[in-house]
Amino acid sequence: MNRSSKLEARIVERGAIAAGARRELFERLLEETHQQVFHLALRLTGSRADAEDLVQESFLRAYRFFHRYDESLPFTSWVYKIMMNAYIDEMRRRGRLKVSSLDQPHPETGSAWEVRDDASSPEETLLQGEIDEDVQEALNRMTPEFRMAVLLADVEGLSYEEISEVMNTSVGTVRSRIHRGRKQLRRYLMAARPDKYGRWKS
Amino acid sequence: MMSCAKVRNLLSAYVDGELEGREMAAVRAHLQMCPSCCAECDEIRSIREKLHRLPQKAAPPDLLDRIKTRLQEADEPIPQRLQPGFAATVVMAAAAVLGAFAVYSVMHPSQEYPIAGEAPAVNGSQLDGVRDFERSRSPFSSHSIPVSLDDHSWGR
Repeated sequence: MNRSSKLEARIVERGAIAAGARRELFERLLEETHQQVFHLALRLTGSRADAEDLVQESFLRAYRFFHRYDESLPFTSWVYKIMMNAYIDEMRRRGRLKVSSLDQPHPETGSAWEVRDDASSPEETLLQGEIDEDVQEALNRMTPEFRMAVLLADVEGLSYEEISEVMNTSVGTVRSRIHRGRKQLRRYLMAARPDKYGRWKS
Repeated sequence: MMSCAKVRNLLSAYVDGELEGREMAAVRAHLQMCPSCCAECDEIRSIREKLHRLPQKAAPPDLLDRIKTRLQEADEPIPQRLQPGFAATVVMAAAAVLGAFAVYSVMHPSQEYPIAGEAPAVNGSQLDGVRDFERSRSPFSSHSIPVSLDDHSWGR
């Protein structure tokens, strides 16, 4: 072994030790938060398959950028911030895929959140026949930015200030998205189930 | 007094406790006087409650292990990749070889060298290496950086 390859080996070794400690810490946070993160992903995507993929992709990205996490945001909020970006990326990508072809294999591999064939099949749709089906259906139809803001406020209980951090926008925009989101939701429920939500006649 | 239209736009922030000072007081005062805005406010509250009460759904039992496996994979040493400096070195070496060859040809004009045959062959294969290098980089650079995950986007 010559000098330069010995040096390389030492750098790899040090990297491995650091990565081990880093992973241990990250795994603890992952164990503590993954249920909560999954729940939000499920409400956001409206499908179990998509939620699983989104959660995996989000934690993987979070791990990759873990050295930048400085605890000024709670860990879950930081993961949500990453999740929102991953979700938007994926929606944009699917938007493109729809115009081209869904049958073509995705050129990117590895950490890409890949489209699953069964993602939109009826049996995969979230919570069929369950009590909150109406609300989830209404959520699915909302403008994505409104849906995110409403979920962060009403499911996660974040303040507008925290939501603005997660969504990288102003508090004023958050305020408007939440209000318009709730109104969209109400409008959908009134139109879809007037028998159940008919008292909301304006 | 604040108009109904203005009050209605503030109702979500109002029920979330996100209004302050004069705005808060103005909405509260309006709601005491206006049954129609009051009804609207109740509807916003009801929507908020519905979302808040959505039942928690458990993640699949194997999800945690799947994520951990992927973290482990992410830590595995990346196969030796060409360093960016290497591409420049390859190009410069190719240029040097060509340059030396050209000088040599000028200094020995009487001798015939298969310039068209050999020199491009050397150059061509070296540049193939550069192209392979570019190709090998693109999958990493194309999706490893999430949108807006820059240093200044958090940490305040």
